[in-house]
Amino acid sequence: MDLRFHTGHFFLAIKDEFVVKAERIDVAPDGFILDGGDLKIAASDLTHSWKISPTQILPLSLLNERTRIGGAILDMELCMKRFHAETKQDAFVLSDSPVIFGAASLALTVISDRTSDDVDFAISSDFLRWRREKWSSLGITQTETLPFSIFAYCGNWRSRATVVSGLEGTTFRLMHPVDTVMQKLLRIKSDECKFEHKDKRDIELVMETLSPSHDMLVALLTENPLRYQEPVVEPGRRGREALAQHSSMKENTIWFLERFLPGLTYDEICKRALNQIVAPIDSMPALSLHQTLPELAKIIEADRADL
Amino acid sequence: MTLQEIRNEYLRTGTVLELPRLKELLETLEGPNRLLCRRLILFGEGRPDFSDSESVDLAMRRNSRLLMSRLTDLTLRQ
Repeated sequence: MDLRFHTGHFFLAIKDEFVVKAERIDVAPDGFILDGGDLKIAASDLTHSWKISPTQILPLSLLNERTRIGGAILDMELCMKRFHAETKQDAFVLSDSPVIFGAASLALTVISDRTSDDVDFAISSDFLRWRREKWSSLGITQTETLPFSIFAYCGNWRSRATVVSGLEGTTFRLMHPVDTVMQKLLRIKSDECKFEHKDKRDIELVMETLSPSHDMLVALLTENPLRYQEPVVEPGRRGREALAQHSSMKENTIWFLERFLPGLTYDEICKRALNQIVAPIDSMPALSLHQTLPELAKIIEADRADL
Repeated sequence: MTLQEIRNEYLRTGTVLELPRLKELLETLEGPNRLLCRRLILFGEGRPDFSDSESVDLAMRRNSRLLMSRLTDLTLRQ
């Protein structure tokens, strides 16, 4: 018997790149309509589907890493669509589209075999508040969402970010791997030893793959003087967090200098960064993606085409 | 292959076999068989006529079977 609709708990893989969750699948002449119209997929794009019970989860071993990241991107796109429908606001303005950073940004560029338990997104504050309150994610990959202020101590990452498109056509910014490295150096020490166990290896792989020059690394480290400003000691939790953050950044940066820029001290980097406060803005070193890292640009372009 | 066999193969795999032969056959058929042959040709050419309710029905049956063929029921493993 050919059923015209199915209800239950389903995951559907689309072109083996995206996975979506659905509780109702309506069969249409040209494909499938999920959950009453949230998403329509062409019949030829359906590569696999899994039915699970309400208490089961889809074993992640069934999916490849790229599919997991695609699932998280699609989850974000559908969430934006719902946000717009409910609030009549756009989830982002054109120049401020969501940013994919962390391990996923490396998996999509230089470390193709990189795996991660979650996909990190930075999104606008209004959308973030709504999402945390109202959205139940697709459940394929844990999606970590943070506000753009997470990059307050990073350098000019916006000018180096590239873009990827989601299944629904939304443009996401993809953080450049060198900026991901700079961001990882800010990892707070108490964060489940992630810097020791994951970040150091990632940083070494990025350095090995891209071989950025000595001058470029110094420029990246000194781009944002705020990074090195001693926090004002405030009483309470926030003050303790700021101190812990600064102390972790210092420790991580010292490791980075010893490993990749031997001969340069943390104090020297601080001095150079702080000196740039009074330097004219046009004297800042240019770090255009295509000018300085042509090989990476090619890799990213290839990934863009695939996505 | 007969017309019915080509139809069944389409329902099973989504592929219309022997498309050039179907086009030749079209001129020799009449009635419901001619209509079916025409529908299958259009499916084979990737331009089905969804204003025709029989084409819609055929495509929906095909998609329903495709969904089932790609489905792994993990609830059975519990």
